[in-house]
Amino acid sequence: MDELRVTWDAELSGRLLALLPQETRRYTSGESSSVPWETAQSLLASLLYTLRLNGEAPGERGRQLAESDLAEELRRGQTRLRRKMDYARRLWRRLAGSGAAGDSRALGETLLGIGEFWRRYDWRFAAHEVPCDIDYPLALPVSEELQGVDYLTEWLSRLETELRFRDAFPREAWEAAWERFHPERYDLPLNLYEPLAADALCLFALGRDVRALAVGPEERRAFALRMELLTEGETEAALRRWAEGLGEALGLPEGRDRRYLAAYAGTLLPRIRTAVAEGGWPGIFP
Amino acid sequence: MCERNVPALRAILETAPAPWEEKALQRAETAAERFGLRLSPEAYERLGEERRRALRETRRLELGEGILPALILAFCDSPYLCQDRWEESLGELQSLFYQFKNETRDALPDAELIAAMARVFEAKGGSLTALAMTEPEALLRAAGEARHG
Repeated sequence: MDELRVTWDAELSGRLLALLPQETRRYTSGESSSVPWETAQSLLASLLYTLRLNGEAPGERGRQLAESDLAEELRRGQTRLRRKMDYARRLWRRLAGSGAAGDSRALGETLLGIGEFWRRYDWRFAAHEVPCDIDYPLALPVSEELQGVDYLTEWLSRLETELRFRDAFPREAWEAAWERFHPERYDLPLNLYEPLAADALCLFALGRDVRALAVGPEERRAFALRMELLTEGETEAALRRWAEGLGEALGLPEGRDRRYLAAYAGTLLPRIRTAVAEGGWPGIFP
Repeated sequence: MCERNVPALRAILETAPAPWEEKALQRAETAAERFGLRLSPEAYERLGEERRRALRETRRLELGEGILPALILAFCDSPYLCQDRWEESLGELQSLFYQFKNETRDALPDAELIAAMARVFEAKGGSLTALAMTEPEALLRAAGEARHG
């Protein structure tokens, strides 16, 4: 821990120290002069998150705060959190009401469970926490570096992106694709974006009709032959190109949706290279 | 989600607790003197050291002014305490206070816990040993009785 002290501006540390007793007093309603270390740690983590300060590397933000009124910055930070909560709640309501919960038990339970977040989220004293269970796995998981309402907002935004991708195809196409993917997918915690994206990328690479999402053994063999001719660098470039082209062909909104597809396509690279090396082609398709 | 990015919490934990609040201490000393109980400056220093040790051992952080003044006020009128034992007793009561805060999971405000300790202490004939052995449930009950007493 000594190295942490060295990187911290002494004045900023001192001012945070001055803020903590006030927050501790508020937390205990003035009824307790002491708290367990774990409580103090949590209160401090909440303060840092609200102040948007990285405790391990304060950097430029630390320098800004060292010259600011910390109590005022804390108030501004809490106002910002409440605005983010309002936005995230609206997003959640849209997704919860979209019918997506019917696609998978894990997704339905996760969307329902996020209702707990609004009841339990403590923006004042535990702003960094995510007090709900999020079991449905996204194709691209949200970084654990994000905390509190930021984590939840990013998770919901990614889910929304995945559902928009699904809606770019006819319903019968994605239902058939899911049935081929796993007949028991409803009861299993499986991501449902992946099979659609992988199938669509495969069809786009082969110049077939992507909206049909009809990937069978013949398409997989053709894709495998294509991949075996490429080097790793060529595969990476091809995946990038196909993701861009697919996004365009489907009319996906520019920006987030297309970047998400490109990032997902990038995750196929190691699987494709393994399949080229070992011949296990079914493994590249979820 | 676990706490991350908590800077130098150890630095904060190692920071000396705030000194006892002067006015609160003066009020407590005035009350204690009526019963012939006094503490020397050296005794206060030793009690300060014991406070730091007790907080470390119980893994608690005290950013407020400390509970010594409140303990003095609550126990100075006990017939079981005299000048000879005054400093030693306060040191033990201070340590027990932090221990009881943990064992009752911070369920009681400071004032109620101190009232409960005083009630149990008197009921046990002034035995600090017996007080130290008190179960959390008994303290919670004593707090309830003190509240309604």
